[in-house]
Amino acid sequence: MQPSPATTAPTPASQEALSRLLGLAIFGERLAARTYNQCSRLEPRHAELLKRFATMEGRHARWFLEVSQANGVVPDKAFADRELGYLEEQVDAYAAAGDVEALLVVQGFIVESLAIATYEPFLAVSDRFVGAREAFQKALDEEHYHVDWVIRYLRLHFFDQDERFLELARRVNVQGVDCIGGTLMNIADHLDAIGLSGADSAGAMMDGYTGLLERVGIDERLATRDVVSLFMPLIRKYRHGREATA
Amino acid sequence: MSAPDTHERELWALLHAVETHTASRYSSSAPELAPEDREACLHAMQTELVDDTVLDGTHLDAPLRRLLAAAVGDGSGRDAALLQGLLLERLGVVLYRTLAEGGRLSERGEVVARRALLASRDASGRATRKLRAELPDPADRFDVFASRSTPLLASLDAFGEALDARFADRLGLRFSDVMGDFVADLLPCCVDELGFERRRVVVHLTGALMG
Ligand SMILES: [Fe+2]
Ligand SMILES: [Fe+2]
Repeated sequence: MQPSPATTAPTPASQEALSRLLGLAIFGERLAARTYNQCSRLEPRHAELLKRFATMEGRHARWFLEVSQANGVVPDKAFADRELGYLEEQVDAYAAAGDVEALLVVQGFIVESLAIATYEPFLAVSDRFVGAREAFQKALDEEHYHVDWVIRYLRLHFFDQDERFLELARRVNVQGVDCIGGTLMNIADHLDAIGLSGADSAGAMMDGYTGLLERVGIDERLATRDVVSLFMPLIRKYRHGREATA
Repeated sequence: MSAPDTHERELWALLHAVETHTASRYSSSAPELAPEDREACLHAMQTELVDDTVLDGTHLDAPLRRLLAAAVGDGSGRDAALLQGLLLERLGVVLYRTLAEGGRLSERGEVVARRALLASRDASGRATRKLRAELPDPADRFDVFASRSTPLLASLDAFGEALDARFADRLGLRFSDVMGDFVADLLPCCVDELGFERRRVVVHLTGALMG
């Protein structure tokens, strides 16, 4: 990819934030690739497509690594490992149980919602980083493509079974929102440091994910109530952490 | 249960304090927002359920004072419609509904909760109509909502621990669930009746709660 030039010099604080954010994006994308590969083994009818998704996620990781290198940023792997360990556990447990429906909700909805809620606003500041705009725009377009397919899959799979989908969403949400929403709270200050808003991304993720549940058939009120009530402890933890360090 | 226990009396003291504050905001700045049954509800709470000193020295006392301070706003009728009418009355709807349906109140408490629920619904509707009339442009309306509501929303956080510790097991009120219900109730009103964009409302609420 031909990199776009950086328009302003980064500060040390924004470099550190970028190292964590890009670390999370790179290793998160690799985990996403692994998860879609697990889905492809468990869902043979769509194996080819899911493998293609995995390849795309792997490619996002590579593009983001190139962005890191072009900007002299070393992706913070230790930070990414800490954030992704909990998600990896959840994914592996579903894979071991052969639970492709849960895998698709956690990866195709919750993780993709986090990616969209951060990549999309990042585009507004991406010109400050060499090569970032193209990489994030293309990745964002592909995340939307993944989400669109997962919506169709789940709608068909749970056609006329809204109650069963609600049960699945509730089961996956408890750990999934805690884990992935928790990660978003943990990067909120880094998003602020590079000129974005952690709160805007958190709100966008919450609303984006709620909207996806609605599109599969969960009543708007129920979806909102469930997602917000699971986000509340994370929001409070973030707030109290900030108050403690203020 | 025939008589309210300590937990329930604490809760009624809290609700009564907020309702009394709301009633005084309406009477001084926006009498048209006051629901017809509010005075009678307050009287029923006061005479049958509330012991005014029950909150003294509890962990609910400081959050309550913080909430009431944030709920004064600029003293205008418009702020009363927004802070009391749109936000606190809706919170009241959520709390009274949960309590009335939960089957954990005293008999008298349940009767008052049902009555207070109707009064809060009435007040919410009045506030929505006032906001639409005073701020006909939805974009202006959203700007006012976003700029005026933050301190009140931010003050809710302080209830988290105290609410869970005192009322979760006994009365079925958990802070996270109450907030989930509150947002789920507030959003359709904001979108369908006030013409706000859902995403912008969620982002605003999240930002205010994150502090
Ligand atoms: Fe991706
Ligand atoms: Fe994706």
